[in-house]
Amino acid sequence: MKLEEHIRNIRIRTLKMTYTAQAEHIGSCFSCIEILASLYSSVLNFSSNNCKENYFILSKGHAIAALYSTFCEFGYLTEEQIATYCKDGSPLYGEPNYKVNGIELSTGSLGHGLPVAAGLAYSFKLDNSSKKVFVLVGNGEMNEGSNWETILFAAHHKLKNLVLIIDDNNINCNDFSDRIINLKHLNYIMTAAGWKVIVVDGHNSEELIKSFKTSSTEPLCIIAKTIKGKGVSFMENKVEWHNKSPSKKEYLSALKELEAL
Amino acid sequence: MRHKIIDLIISLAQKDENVFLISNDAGYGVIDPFVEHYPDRYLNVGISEQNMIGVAVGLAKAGKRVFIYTLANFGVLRCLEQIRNDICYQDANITLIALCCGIYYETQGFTHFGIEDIGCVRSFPNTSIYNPANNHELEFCFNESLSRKGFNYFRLEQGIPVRDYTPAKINNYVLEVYPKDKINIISTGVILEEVLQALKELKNFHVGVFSVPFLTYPISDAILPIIQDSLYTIVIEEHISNGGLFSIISEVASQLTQHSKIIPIGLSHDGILKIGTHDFMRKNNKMSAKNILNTLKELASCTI
Repeated sequence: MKLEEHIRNIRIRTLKMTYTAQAEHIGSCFSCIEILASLYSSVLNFSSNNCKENYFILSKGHAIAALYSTFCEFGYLTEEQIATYCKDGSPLYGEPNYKVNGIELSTGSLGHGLPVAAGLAYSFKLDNSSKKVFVLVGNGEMNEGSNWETILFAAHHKLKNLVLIIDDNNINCNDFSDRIINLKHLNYIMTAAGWKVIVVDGHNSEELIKSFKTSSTEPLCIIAKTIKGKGVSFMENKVEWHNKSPSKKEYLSALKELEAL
Repeated sequence: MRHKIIDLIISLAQKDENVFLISNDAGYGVIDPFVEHYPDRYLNVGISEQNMIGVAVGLAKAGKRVFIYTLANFGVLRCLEQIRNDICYQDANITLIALCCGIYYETQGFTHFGIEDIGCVRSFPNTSIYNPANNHELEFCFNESLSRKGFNYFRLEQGIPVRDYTPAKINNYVLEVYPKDKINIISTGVILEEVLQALKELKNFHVGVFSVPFLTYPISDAILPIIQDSLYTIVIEEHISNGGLFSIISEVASQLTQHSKIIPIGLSHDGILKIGTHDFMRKNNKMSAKNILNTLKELASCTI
């Protein structure tokens, strides 16, 4: 199956999961589906902790439905397990759960994933390991001070095995990001901080995979330009779809659009 | 105690190559022996506490046995959410040593007083809090902590050294200094020295004294007989009573329908705002040896 078909399936499944659970954050999920699918079809594989080649942390944990859908698409979770998403007692709740196989860190509070990723990367560097650590953050999450502490730390220690992917959809929770904290010049700021920066189309899997495999002498920052709510016309680039759950009518309309792709 | 704990970590590092020390630019002149022995097993992350905890968790995930050396408030309160979410709730095994606990840092003021940390941290899961009075208690705590998974938090106070004493009994991690009586003092940390100095002046009257360095271990069975069969129990700590040892003992007491009157001697938020020497501040917070003696004399007169 081609990667584009997987991406279509992941998006449809994420919609179904979110609607069934009446969960939030579908806009945040849709903006990073190409990123997750591209990661798990190229540089990441699903292994137990002992034999992982590379590590991944979903720091923007509210997009967990997209990650679980990706896991299911590549056979790491079953549809039966997916059906328990956000149900009473299920380990698959609305933020990452480190007790679920394949999840490295329970996140949900923003700004936690990158420091832990840097600690892993530092340890691998010390041990002369070839392992890389990938971490996905949101653009709103880049407001968090903890990230900036780690950005300076990682650059100082030249953690070239650390890859920060920013899902840059320009929408926070309450408003467009550039109306809250201006990060338009993020690429210059990260470069000045000592990172190698690549800006890509976050919905182009070819560009994404090429960027993941880029070698660097510094830590690598991939700014993935994305659209919140990507794939459904009435969700795209709308602030409300950060928190809103689709109604039945909205769900059926969105499903029709996605199935037509 | 800060030099002692570094010695203990070095001894451990000699046997375990995974021992790793991390600090937020703290420990000058103290951690040097470890850094000299093991420069590749030490990391100064700079003044970035939230980053420090995250990096420590990452190192632990990669197999390192992580020890953090920091100052309370900065390395605990500032990154409390990181400690809670990334260490305590995710079964990370990390030991954090915090200096600046209590009011020893005198003229630095409240920003440098670690006096609410017990209250904040003790409600977290998978957490063990140690508040030793002297090097002997510290070594006991350290050795016990080696088999404890989760977050091991050593809060190290400073002040006039607490004399060595041989506990008469070690009962469920409560150390008996003097056997229980009608009036008892339950103490944690270095304030024990003021207690022992006060007792030297107390003539012809016996007071039970107990030291509690293991703040989150199961100590109920040891505490219950002390508070059940006595008239007064003073709970003393160089910490805000609310949330500290006083709260811990009160919670134990809630299991009883009858028990002694429990009297807190601890810091107050108003009391710590008047800055001066450690001695001045203890007097101002009514926890000097003289203050303790006066309290005991008043209580003693009530028992006659």
